[in-house]
Amino acid sequence: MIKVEDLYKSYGETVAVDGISFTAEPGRIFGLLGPNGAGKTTSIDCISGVHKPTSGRILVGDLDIVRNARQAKAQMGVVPQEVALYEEVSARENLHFWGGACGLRGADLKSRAGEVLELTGLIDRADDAVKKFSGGMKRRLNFGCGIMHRPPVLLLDEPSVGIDPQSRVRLLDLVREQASAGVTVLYTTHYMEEAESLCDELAIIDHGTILADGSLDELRSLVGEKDMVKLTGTFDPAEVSRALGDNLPEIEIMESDEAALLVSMSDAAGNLAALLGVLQENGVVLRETSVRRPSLETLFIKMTGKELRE
Amino acid sequence: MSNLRYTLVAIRKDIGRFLKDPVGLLLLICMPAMVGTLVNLAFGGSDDTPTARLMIADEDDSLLSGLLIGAFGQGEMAELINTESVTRAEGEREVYKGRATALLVVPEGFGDSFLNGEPDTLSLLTNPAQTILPGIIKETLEIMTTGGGLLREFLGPQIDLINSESGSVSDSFSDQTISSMAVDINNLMEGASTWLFPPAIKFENISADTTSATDAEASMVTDEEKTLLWYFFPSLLTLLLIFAGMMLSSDIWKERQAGTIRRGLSVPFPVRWMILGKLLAGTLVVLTVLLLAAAFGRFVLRLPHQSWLAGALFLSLTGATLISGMTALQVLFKTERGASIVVMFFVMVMMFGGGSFFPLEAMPDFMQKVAMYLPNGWALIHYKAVIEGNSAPGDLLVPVIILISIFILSWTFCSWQIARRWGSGSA
Repeated sequence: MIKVEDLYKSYGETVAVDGISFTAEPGRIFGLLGPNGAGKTTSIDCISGVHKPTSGRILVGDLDIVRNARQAKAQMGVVPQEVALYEEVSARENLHFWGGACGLRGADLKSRAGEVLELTGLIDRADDAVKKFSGGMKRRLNFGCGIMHRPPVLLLDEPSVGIDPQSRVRLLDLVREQASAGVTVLYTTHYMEEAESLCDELAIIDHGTILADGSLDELRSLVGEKDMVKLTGTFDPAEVSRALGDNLPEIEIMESDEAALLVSMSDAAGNLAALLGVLQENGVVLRETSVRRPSLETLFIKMTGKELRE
Repeated sequence: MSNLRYTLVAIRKDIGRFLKDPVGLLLLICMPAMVGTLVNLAFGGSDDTPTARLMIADEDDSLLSGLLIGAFGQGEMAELINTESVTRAEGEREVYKGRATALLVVPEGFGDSFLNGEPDTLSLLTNPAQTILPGIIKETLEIMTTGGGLLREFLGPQIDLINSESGSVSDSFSDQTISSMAVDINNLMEGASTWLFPPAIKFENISADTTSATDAEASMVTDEEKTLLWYFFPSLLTLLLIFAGMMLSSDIWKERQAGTIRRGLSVPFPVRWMILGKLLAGTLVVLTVLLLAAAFGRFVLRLPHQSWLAGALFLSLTGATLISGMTALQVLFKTERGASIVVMFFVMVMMFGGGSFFPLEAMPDFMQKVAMYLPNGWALIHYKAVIEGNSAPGDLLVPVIILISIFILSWTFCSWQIARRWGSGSA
């Protein structure tokens, strides 16, 4: 289990994590979903003991990561965002080193390395230099190094960045297997689809703050059944607000400026024509219109006014 | 698992990396070898014939001394050696200032001693900054003195006759004396071609070394044994150390960029043990290369190095300290670029100022003093003292303690800095 209470981390004037709290349970995958720079990696670094929190408390099981760093770290496997491997040596040698760094030795180390190579599908290339591996293979090995010592807690910091869809599917399956085996998994990503397909629970994070958290169903309920419609063009925000209020009061304006308008509305497919008509009657010049079905991304947009990948 | 075991795991990991990527190791060996080859070519491979400037202090001023000195002006020798008559003081000054190749002192009474069959000594003071030209002069003098000795032995009665008849070698002789001597000389020369005699004239070669007279006397390596390679080989070994320090210390940036340092910060063991493993792996590489190089120098190039093994071990420890110090310097900077510039600056200063690119003996006095305060120059002086036999391996105890202390300080600082800058601050 990971329990994070009011975690705060700053670097001088810059606040990277601003008082986040959450709990990740054994056998479940807890996702931290947010754009780049949201504070996901800093949170992982604090939880894994790489960085010391400015304030707050982090428990790994019953162990405080600051007070019992060595014991707490022994409970965790970390899969960093970088492919943190030694490219000159083989996959097996990498597993041996990182397993040894986590306390494995002798026959146990060797047999576990064999298991992990099987698990990650790298057994045929076990003795090849890592520099000859594809990006997907390196990512799987990176994951394998994190689970060498059979940790009850697994931290994965955007482990699928930059890999092909096939390798991603395989990697996500490996993560699911760990959770099925009772491991507490904390998974950060900025891929909404990945979070939706993988995580049992999610926290949406931006600017170091958790905007919403809960199970997927709970978060979806926050979005409601309404679609999100984004329009770009030339707008007079005050005039648009008045016109929509007078003519289509059921439409909720989420974000409005002179170049874009974001609204929430039911059955966009059926009501879009009415919306466009009202806007054109009021002198709006439209360039582009997009409709999004209710999703985590629409929730993110609803909460931050921007898209996840912006 | 103990911290020590983790360190061993880290050593094995880095040794494995070095072995799997031998280009770096080859560069480590090839660069000093290339520099050595270039320097040898520069000093010995030119088509232009170098000319020696031989100062001659003829304090005897006899016919014999005149013949001896005149021999340097004969035939091809004249193209190699320019002779100048000077007083002993003038000659010494020219040699010590590095303007002359050597000073030959023919002592007063040399001619009479020769004629009387008494041994005498010629003194040759050589410029240590030059190796080949003083060597030619020494060889020439050796031939002359050996020939002179043979002549004295072969023609003893005839020389005695000259001596008794004239009283001085500068006086003239009668026709009878000359014809009698000619017949005797012919007979003797025919029968004496297959055997040798010890020379009746010896000369001693005094190197104008800046080390104390006591050290020079205690040296177990004779000047005759010192070749250009002898002077330059230890410098090449320290050059190897500098390259090793630069190359192995920069690996910390490679690890940082790969994310392995960050991953290392998340394992249960403090990162300082991983760093120690890294430094010790580099040390083992340097030790191996140095032992091979020193053994190559001793047994293949047949350099007369005393205590070469102790010397190689001492240099390896110096290498470990250089790797540790340079790694500490690397992590002092926020960017690899900044670190590279500063490390390169120190490397240049050490290379050119510490006797790694030029033998210490070839450097001006003030530069030699500066070199003593540079890590490689300091190590080179201690190393040469051991391989020359001027100090026993046990005399290296204090320098070894100093090196180990600096290694530990650098390692501690480096680990603290990595943890502070790249992690939570807990090393």
